[in-house]
Amino acid sequence: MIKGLWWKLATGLGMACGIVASFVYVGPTPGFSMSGHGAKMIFFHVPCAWLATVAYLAAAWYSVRYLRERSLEEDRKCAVSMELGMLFATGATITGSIFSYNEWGRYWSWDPRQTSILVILLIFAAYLVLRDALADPEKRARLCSVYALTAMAPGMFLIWVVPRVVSSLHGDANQAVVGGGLSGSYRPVLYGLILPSFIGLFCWLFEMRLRIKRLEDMEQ
Amino acid sequence: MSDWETEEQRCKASWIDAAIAIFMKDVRSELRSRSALSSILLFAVTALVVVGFSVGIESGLSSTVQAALLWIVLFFAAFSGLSHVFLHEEESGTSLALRLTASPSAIYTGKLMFNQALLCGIAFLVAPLYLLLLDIRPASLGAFLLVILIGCPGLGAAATVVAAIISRAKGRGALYGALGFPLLLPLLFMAVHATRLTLVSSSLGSELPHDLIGLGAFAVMVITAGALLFPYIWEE
Repeated sequence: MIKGLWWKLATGLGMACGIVASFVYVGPTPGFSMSGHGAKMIFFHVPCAWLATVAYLAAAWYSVRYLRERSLEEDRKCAVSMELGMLFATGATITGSIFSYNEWGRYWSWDPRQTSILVILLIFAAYLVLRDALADPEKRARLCSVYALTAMAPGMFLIWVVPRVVSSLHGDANQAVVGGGLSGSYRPVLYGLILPSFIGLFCWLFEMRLRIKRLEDMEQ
Repeated sequence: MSDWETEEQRCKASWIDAAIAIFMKDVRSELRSRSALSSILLFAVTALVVVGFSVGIESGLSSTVQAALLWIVLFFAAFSGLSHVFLHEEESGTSLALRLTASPSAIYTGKLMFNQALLCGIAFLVAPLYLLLLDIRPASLGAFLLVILIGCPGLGAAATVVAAIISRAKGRGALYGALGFPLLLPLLFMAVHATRLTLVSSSLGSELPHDLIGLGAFAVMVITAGALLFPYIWEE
C-alpha cells in the first residue's frame, strides 16, 4: 500500500474542493430536472459505479492470487474488495435511482446498466453471506475464491453480451443513461477532483478494513 | 515417443471411462432411491399447481408474466434438488472414496452429465404441464421447446457448480438458491425474453437467434468456468 499521510490529506482536500466545486463552480445544465441542477448527481454516481466495478475486478484478481499462492492475506484482500464493492455498489444504486426518478419519473426501469449493477450488488451480497457461513479459514478462503471467480462469468456476460442481445428492446433507455456526453465544467471537476478523491477514499478504506481483518484473524 | 502417446491415450480413455462410470453410478443410485427426481418433480408440480390455482385460466396474464413464471418454476425446481449429487456423497461418507478413485475433472464431468440429464428430463415434464395447466398455446411450439432445451444446460451447469460449493459448507443448504441466483440472472433474462417471443409470434427470424446464441454461450461459459474451478472446490 502507499506509505505516508500525504495522500490521505490530498484525498480529504480533493473531496472537499470537489463537493464545493460541484455546487458552486459548475453551473446548471439545461434539460435536466430542478432547473438543471439535477445533472450534478453524476459527480457522485459515476465514481461509485466505477469503484464498484473496480472492486469486482480486484476481488477476482485476489481470488486468482489466493488459489495460486494459498496465502490468507490474498483472501483477506479479496474479502475487503467485496465489502467495499458492496458499499460503493449500494451508493451507485441509490444515487442512480434518485437520478432516474428525477429525470424519468421512475426509480427503477430495468435498463441493462441498472440490471448489471443489481447483479453485481447481489454477487457481493452472496459472497459475503457465503463467507459468514464458513468457519474454517482455509476452506472459507478456497470456496469463497472459487465463488468469486464463478461469479465473474455472469458479470462479464452482462457487461458485454446482454446489452447487445437486448439492445433492440432497451436501446433508447440505455442511450439515455449512457449517452449525453459531459460538457463544459463537468469534465475537470469529475475527472480532476472527484474521481481521484473517490479512488483515494477507496484505497484508504481498503487499507483500514485490511488492517482490521488482519487483527481479527490474529485474535482467533 | 510412441510409448508416451499411447500412455496419454490410455489416460484420456480412462478419464472418459471414469466420468461415464460416475454418471452410471449416479443414475443407478437414483433409480434405486429416486430421492432427487421425486423431490424436484414434487416441487415443480406443486409450484405449477400453486401458480395455476392462484392465477386461473380466465385472468389473461400477459405473455411476459407467463414466460417469467415458467422460468421461475424451473429455476427453483433446479435449486430444490440438484445439490443432491454432491450432498448425497457427503452424507453417506462416500466422498473420500470417490476422491481416491477418480480425478476431479472426471467427477465434475460425471456429476454434470447426471444433473443435466435430470434437469432436462424435469423441464420436459414441467413445460407441457405448464402449458396445459395455464391453457397457453405457444405461437410456435417447436421454438418454445428449443428455448427450454438450450436454456437448461446453463441452468444445470450453474446449479452444479454452486451445489459443489454448498456441499462443502455443511448445514448451509439454505444458501443454495441465494448463491445461485446472481449467477443465473443473465440466463433468466435471456430465457424469459426468448420464451415470451415464442409464445406471442411465429415469425422469430430476427430476435430469437440472438437469445439462443446468448443462452448457448452462457452455458459454455459456466461449464468451462466450472471445469477450471472444480478441482479447487473438490480438494480436501
